[in-house]
Amino acid sequence: MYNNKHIWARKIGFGFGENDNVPDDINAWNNEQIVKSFETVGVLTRSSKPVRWPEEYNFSFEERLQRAYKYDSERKDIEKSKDLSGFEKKSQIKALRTETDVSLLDVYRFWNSAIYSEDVIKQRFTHFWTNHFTVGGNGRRNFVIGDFINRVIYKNLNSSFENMLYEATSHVGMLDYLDNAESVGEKSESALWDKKRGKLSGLNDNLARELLELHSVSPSRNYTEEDIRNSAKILAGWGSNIDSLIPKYKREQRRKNSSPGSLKGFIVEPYFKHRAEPGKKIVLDKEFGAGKKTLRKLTNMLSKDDSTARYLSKKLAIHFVGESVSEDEIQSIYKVWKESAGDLHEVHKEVIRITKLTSVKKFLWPSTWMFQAIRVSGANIMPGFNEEDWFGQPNSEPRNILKEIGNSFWENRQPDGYSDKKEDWISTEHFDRRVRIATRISASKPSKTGEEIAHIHDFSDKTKLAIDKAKTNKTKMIVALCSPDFMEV
Amino acid sequence: MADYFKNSLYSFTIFFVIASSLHADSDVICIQEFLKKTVFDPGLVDGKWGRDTGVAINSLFEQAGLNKQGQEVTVDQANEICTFLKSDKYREILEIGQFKIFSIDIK
Amino acid sequence: MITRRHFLSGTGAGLFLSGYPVHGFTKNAIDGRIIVLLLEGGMDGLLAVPPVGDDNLYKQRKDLVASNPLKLNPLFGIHPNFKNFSQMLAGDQASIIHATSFPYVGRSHFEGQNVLQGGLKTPFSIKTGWLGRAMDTAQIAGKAMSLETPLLIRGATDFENFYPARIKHTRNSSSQLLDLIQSTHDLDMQKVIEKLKQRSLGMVDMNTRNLARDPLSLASEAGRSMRKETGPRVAVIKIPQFDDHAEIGRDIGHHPELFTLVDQTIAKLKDELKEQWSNTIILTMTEFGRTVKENGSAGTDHGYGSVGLLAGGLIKRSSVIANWPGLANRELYERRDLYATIDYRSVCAACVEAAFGLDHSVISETVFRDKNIPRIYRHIFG
Repeated sequence: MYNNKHIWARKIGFGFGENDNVPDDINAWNNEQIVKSFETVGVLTRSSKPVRWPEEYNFSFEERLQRAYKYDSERKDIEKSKDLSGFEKKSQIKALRTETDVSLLDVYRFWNSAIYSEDVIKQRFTHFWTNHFTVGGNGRRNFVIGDFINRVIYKNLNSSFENMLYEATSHVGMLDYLDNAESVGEKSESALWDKKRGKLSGLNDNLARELLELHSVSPSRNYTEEDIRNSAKILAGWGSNIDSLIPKYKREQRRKNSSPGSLKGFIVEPYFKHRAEPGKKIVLDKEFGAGKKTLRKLTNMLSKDDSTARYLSKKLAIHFVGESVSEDEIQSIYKVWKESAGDLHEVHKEVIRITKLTSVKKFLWPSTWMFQAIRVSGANIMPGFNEEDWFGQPNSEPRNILKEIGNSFWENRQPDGYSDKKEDWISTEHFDRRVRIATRISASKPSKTGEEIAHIHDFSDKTKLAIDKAKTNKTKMIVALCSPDFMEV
Repeated sequence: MADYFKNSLYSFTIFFVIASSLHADSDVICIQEFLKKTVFDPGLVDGKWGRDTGVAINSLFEQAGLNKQGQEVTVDQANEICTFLKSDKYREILEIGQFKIFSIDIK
Repeated sequence: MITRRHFLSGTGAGLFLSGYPVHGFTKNAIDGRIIVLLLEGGMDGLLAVPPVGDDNLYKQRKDLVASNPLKLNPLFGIHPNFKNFSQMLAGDQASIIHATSFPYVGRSHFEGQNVLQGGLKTPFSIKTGWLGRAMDTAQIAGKAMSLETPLLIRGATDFENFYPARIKHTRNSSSQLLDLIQSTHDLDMQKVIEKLKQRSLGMVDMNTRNLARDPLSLASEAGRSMRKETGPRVAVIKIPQFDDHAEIGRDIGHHPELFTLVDQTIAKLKDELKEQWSNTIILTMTEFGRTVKENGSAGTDHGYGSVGLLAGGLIKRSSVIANWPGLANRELYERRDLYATIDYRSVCAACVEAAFGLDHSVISETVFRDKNIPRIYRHIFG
């Protein structure tokens, strides 16, 4: 039972900070959180108040592509130039990167949302689903991950799992990450052309396997290798290597009638018929035809499957309630999932309801813990998005810190995502990171003290005693933030 | 191993023909059944010492270090082999026979 | 060409050191060292150790056989990138096990890695690892050098990990502060924090400032630590990125580069271990092999049987150990993968027997919880 509003706000959101109005009616707040639409906010500089996140930093996919193209072509020009010295070249390339890099700003947006925006519950669900539909990062792919998080995950929080599954599967980032862009049907035109040229090409079952194993029905469905193979056949033809999008964009730009929307076919629902596999396919005893619309039919079937409902109800329950969630609690969510046919609005409402009533504790992800620590303490550890680092570039610390605590969505990782098990996060090094973050926070002018936090969040007597024994305000804050009362909720 | 049996062979020469036709079958079956429990397959368990049985038992003995270079056991030693396989060396030889070793020829 | 391999790095390569001698431990026990090279992603055993004497090899995957394998015997060759390892083979300090795997056929990385490390047949059925349980049984302590603690080593009675932090404006905390934090936590966490305290008190003599995080540097560090009498007896080095669904390469290319990396890692370990090399066994582990035929992207998909590479002074005689199943279609597992005819648990058990001196039956029952694991010790260490 979560009667303390502050503790509840940490269980389901990021806690209440100095910029938050603690609501009188917490149930109304819960409902409002998932229904209302909110602005994204951020801070311009370290010491300023939160303002609306600048529209020019919300990049559409075309803009992202445009910037990547610009960086690519202009960098080559700079490097080839005979008039510039080595040093001049370096600084120009740096300036170019500042101008074009979107991923750093995406990370900033991510940080600022967690610390300053109002829609905290939606963000927690966004973190959950982004982790579920893991798209690993790397130099190239990082510029689309922000788009994935906002357009595929956040925007679908109130629609259906069916929509989210389809859009996640058909997103350029996912198709690139799991090698589907390389997969061609063995009987496709593309494969036949390749064969004539003596080149081998064919199906790649990577995405198909994870689609069934991790994203929808899970191994409990007892699908066969045939099912995976045939799913791969349905997926063949989808996706474009992100690397090759840039020259394609270049070619489109050169055409006389090019417009920003001309690359739509490469970006949204990127399907290429000449790479697709013709003919019928059978997956889980159901027959599918060929063509672009088939993928949606497949993902719809998977999303409606009972195994999907069970698997995801359990995953949601473990993430929000805790590892020792009961079968009854999972069943409640499962029931709502089934009755609403995977309507995420209804499902999320039920998750919130069940979580509010539980007595089970969850050991928080490092990133969740960190955002809560910053928000609740009112510290300012990150520069604003308008502040630059020593090299005149957007500060890369937010991204580095997320990487260091082992919980970043912009890093390479396995498709099964970050663990929800406490034991996977309690190693010496993980703990060391938390202490370091807490130290940074304590030194960044927090507006609350460790004792205040302990009081507001009903810490145990044992912890309060330890905080008491600490000699300085800084150490009191560190003890408070690194106590189990704050790490678990 | 082969040496030992060569020395005893003289003693058995006179009775060899009679002995082999009377006792060889059950001894060979004993050897073949043992081999079946290893990765050295003797083919059919039929009491007949054919090429397969010979190759199998010699490969096993070579791997176990029992056959010196170039020497091999034959059907004539079937009885001794069977006795040996049933002795307290049973476990050891059985264990050796679970895996095939391919030596490294580069030096 | 963007391939899947890059994401399996997680936090990149990782090193786990364990097994500092416990005070009062009996001197009679064997003093061996075990180093596990965890090859994440599924290593292509047929590319590493091609069965050149099997005609079907060229029929089934002609584009995926190295053009100049070093011939080891009539049946097997080895990829030329294994230069150092081949020399060890010539000197009775290495061995190869082929057509082998843990008894897991599901082809999923996550289940596969879990089976490999947990040591039981059913994935996700246990919270400790086989090496951790082996160390428990032999009463050895533990210490890890990666951001997360690998399952393989959990269950060890006492563990810690080490992975240099790179967060600005922070430094190691004082032990008084850690004391206070520690007092708020439960027993499990207290043990974790204890290790941090020891580090801040300078009880751990590691140069943290410039420590790199790539496999070769970590191997160097491991070798140097394990050389000492008071040093750790177990190391686990995680080498990621074996999952080549596309462009696996044959003479040059990604997989061959990884072979060079593995080869150099083994060589580096031998270099740094010095006298302790004669007391050491290194073994590779991978969750499954890869398909026999290549897929459409010049790569291979998840398979079943693969190879295990062993190196170390504890080895008595070099050989390739294989109950070769053959590569004709009807001889493949589900007509696609190399069959695994040797249970790799036998190999793991033999290494534990050689290094820790535990009885095979004890290892079989308490470490792997299975009475029927065949003993392969004689063929490698006997």
